Amino acid sequence: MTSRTNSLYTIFIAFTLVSGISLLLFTYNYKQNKEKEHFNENILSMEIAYLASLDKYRLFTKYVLEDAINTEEVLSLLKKGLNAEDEMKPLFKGLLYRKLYPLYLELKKEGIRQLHFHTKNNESYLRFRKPTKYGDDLTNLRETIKVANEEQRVITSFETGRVISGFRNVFPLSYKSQSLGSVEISLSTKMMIESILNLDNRGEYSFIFNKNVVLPKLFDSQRFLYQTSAINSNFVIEDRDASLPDSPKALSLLAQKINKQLFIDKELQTAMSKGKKYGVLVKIQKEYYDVVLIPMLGVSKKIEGYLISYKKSDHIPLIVTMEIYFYLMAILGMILIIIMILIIQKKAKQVEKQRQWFQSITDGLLEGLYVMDENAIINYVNPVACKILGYTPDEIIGKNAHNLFHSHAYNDNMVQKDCPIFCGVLENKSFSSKKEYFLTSDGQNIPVSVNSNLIWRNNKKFEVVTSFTDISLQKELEDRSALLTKALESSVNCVVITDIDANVQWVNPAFENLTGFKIDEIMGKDPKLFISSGKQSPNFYKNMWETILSKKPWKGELINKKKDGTFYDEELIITPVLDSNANIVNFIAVKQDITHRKLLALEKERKEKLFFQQSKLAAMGEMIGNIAHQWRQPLSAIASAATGVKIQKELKVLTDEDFIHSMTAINKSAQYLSQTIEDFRCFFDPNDSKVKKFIVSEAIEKTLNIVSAQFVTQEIEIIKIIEECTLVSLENELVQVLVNVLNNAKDVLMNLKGKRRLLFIVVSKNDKTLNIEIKDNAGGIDKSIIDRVFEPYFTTKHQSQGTGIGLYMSEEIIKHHMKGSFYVRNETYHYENQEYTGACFYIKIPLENKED
Amino acid sequence: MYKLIIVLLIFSSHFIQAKDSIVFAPLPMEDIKTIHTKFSGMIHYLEKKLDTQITIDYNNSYDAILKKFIEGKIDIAYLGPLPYLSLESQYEDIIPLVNFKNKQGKVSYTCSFVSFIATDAIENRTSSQIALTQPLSTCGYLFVNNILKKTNINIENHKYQYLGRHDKVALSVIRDEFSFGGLKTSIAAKYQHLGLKEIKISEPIPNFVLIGNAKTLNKEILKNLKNSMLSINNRELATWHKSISYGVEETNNDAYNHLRKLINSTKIPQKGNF
Repeated sequence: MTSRTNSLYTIFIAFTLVSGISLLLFTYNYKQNKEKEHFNENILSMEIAYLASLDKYRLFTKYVLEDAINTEEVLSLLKKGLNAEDEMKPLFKGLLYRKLYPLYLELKKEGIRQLHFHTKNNESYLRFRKPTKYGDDLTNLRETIKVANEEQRVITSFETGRVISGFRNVFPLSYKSQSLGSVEISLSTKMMIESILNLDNRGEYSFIFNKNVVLPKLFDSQRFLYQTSAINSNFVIEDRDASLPDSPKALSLLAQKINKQLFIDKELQTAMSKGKKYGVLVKIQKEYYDVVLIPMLGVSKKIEGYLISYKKSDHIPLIVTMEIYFYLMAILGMILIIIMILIIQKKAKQVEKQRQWFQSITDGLLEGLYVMDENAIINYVNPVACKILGYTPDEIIGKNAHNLFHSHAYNDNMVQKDCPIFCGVLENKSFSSKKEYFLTSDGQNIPVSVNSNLIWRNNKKFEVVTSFTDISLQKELEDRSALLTKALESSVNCVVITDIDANVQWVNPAFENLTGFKIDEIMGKDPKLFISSGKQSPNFYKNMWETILSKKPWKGELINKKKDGTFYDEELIITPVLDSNANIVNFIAVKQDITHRKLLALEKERKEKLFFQQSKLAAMGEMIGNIAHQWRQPLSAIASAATGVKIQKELKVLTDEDFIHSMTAINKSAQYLSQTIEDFRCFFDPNDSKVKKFIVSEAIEKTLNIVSAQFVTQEIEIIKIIEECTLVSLENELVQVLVNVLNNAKDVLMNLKGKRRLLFIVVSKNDKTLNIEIKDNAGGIDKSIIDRVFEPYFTTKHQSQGTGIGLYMSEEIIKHHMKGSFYVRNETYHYENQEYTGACFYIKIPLENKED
Repeated sequence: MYKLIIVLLIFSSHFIQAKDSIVFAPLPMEDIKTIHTKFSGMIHYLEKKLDTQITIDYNNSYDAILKKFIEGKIDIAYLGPLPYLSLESQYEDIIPLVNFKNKQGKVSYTCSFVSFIATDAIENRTSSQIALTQPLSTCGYLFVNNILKKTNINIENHKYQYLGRHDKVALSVIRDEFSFGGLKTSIAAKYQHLGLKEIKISEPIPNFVLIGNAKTLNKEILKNLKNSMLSINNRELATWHKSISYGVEETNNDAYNHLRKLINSTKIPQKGNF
């Protein structure tokens, strides 16, 4: 799926979210408006009931005033009570009380709570409800009285009071144009509620009063009646428990519960602080209640209190009660749309993934694939096809397949109607061929294997799906395989391929030639059954099988038997063939008849023995000379000692001491001669040729013992630098090699006339190798022959002096018997501040040879 | 551990001694609001001093108070002298604690025989209607009968009715529903501005007394109550209702002897005679 498609989905989800949120906001606003309308209706209804009640009692009290108070008798008594002598005032006041008491009783029945006369100076004159309370100044406490007296107008208003709050109707009184003061006919809150209930009895009503207005006015003794309102702490409720007969009924539990909710309504608290009307819906136990609060203003327009109504709500706008469902529906709708989008996105991703999967399959095909319509126009091509044909997809799609790459000189520019692929598919619904050639973009014709199938898209249209493979490589491989098979079949070496149980699966004709057995005879069978000679031990075969079963090649020589019963030597190499899991699946055995080679080797060995013997004989001849030299000096010493003793005896001067000295010298010389004989005997002892541990320096001393006599004679200085070490090898052979090298050095040094004759013997070793260097200062070996000095019968000496097999044999001994290396090179070096050049022979023998 | 036990013992003894609440019965003569107003200061003071809640038991008549007191439903009561003496004669566990002083600092009051300012003297009338408070009110039948007897007037020759409350007596006389009435002098004074006239006044009568119920309260509480009332200072009194804000004195039971004699010589009818 592309990032653009993903972005589209994201935008659509974002659009859905924005739309959903807009819908939620619209719902919220719509609900707010409906709620407001609903509250306004309730407030209006409540206001009407309240004002109607106020008006009702205003008219009633006005009637009472006109009918019962504004009478000649009452006003006269009032005037007299106010203006008479002090001792007579109680009389008129008492008579006034007596006159109006029946009226007061009637008014009480009508719900009138107080009948109260005031002087024009706003002093209480007569309270029918509390007759003992009088004479107090109400100017600052009772705005209604003050205004009525001052402005001489009727005042109708709610007003808190010193004793209790109420709805006041204050009438100015005058008699014969003389202001007498005023009279107040007050209605209790209880009666106001009852009056409102008469108009609308669906709910419950209560009053709360402004704490800041009511509390400062109260007689201290009245404060106990007031408690902080449960709705707002700035307001108080009067006689909550309705202990007084004029108090409204105590609030129901339901209203109290509602009040608790109102207390936490911040909007309500704000409205009350501003003295505003307020309507609200409160839900208690699944029921909705309309609560309306109407401010009650005093004369000075101060908020004196609130009238509150609690009604079970009816005709609530659906949006209000079902608000949460609207929100839920909107949110649910939004979620559903988003889920659908996500599902679509997921499905699209799956489809895209599937498409990509198919694409990867077609792209991953080793075959080229293209799809063409009924007009052979290509509408799909996979990358392999593009690669094989050398085109980009854009260069292929929309083109005619036949014309583009199937019509070429190889098929005489065949036209489409003759195209075997197209026609074959149309006829047989499928087509296969391995003999087609496609033309690539660079003009090459490549052999292809083609498979085409017809697919009907609908009743009329079809498509042809063609897969093809470039078989150039396959052909080449087939050719190579054929060549390989031919080569194997032509090989003079016998090649046998067996399964893991050694049963022959393939064998070349050389096997037939070698063994005389026919291929058909041994096919599927173990060749051992036919050609085994019994010459090899069971351990031999065990070792062979252990090697090849451990997945390593095995090489060895063995003697097998031909069909005619003759034996032959065979060099056999068996290689295990592993599959991809590294399991052995086959063995390939390459056999070679080495009978002839063996014979040659035996011949060579015989010759080498001969050379060796010749060499020894030659050396023996030379050794005779050496022995002669060795013996000359001790024999002379013996002779002179014996002669000396004889002469001394004869002269009778032989002392015992001289005798013993001479005898000792003779014995010493005889011992030397004996040692010399022993050394030579050992050198020539053919039985002393065995591997053993020896000290190299001692071997060198033995060598020098053999040859040193002539070196001394020839004034050859032997400089030895020998590192002590032991070697496990053929000591006698090493001595023979050293003798050869030293003798050759002696021979060339003898030609060095008038010059210092030097021979260096340096023995050193490293971790693995013993190094022996023997060099002279005879000027070195001529470059033209230095590479031939190890050839047999090559010599620079006179025929009487050399056989030409010394160095040859020495190389053979070092290389083949001691597994070391032996070579020579000319070197220029300095010794005692003098530069010399000479031949330097290097003998390197491995140290790890073990004693057999 | 022993500290904990001591603390528990202290608390447990406190709980054993303390009473959950004390029931106080005030005068039955006034409305609830007035009663509350009058006694709230005293109640709060005692609640604080005794560390016990005090509840008010409102009653409409002295009879009801006496009955409840005897039944142990009332722990302390504020009674006039006559109800006190009546209760004393019926119930021995009554403990007079203190008498309340009046404005003049005296622990006695007087009763007044009143009429409207324009009414003829009773001596000039053959039959008059007389308003009385209650049978057990000192200023009721006992006082009026005694006053009239002194002027050789037999109360039984006139019509009398018990109205229950002193203020009702005053107002009924002002309204001319009754020609005469007997009530406490201090209450009658409040209605003078409406033409109520005092005709006769009684001898000093021991003022209202605070009594305790020894059956429901232990001695310590009663002692504590009395001491609390006697040790009250002027600052505290200033917060009380005016009528009881002049202090108290320990009750002198002998001050009731005259009244006891009067009661013994008078048979008080329990109902009016018309």
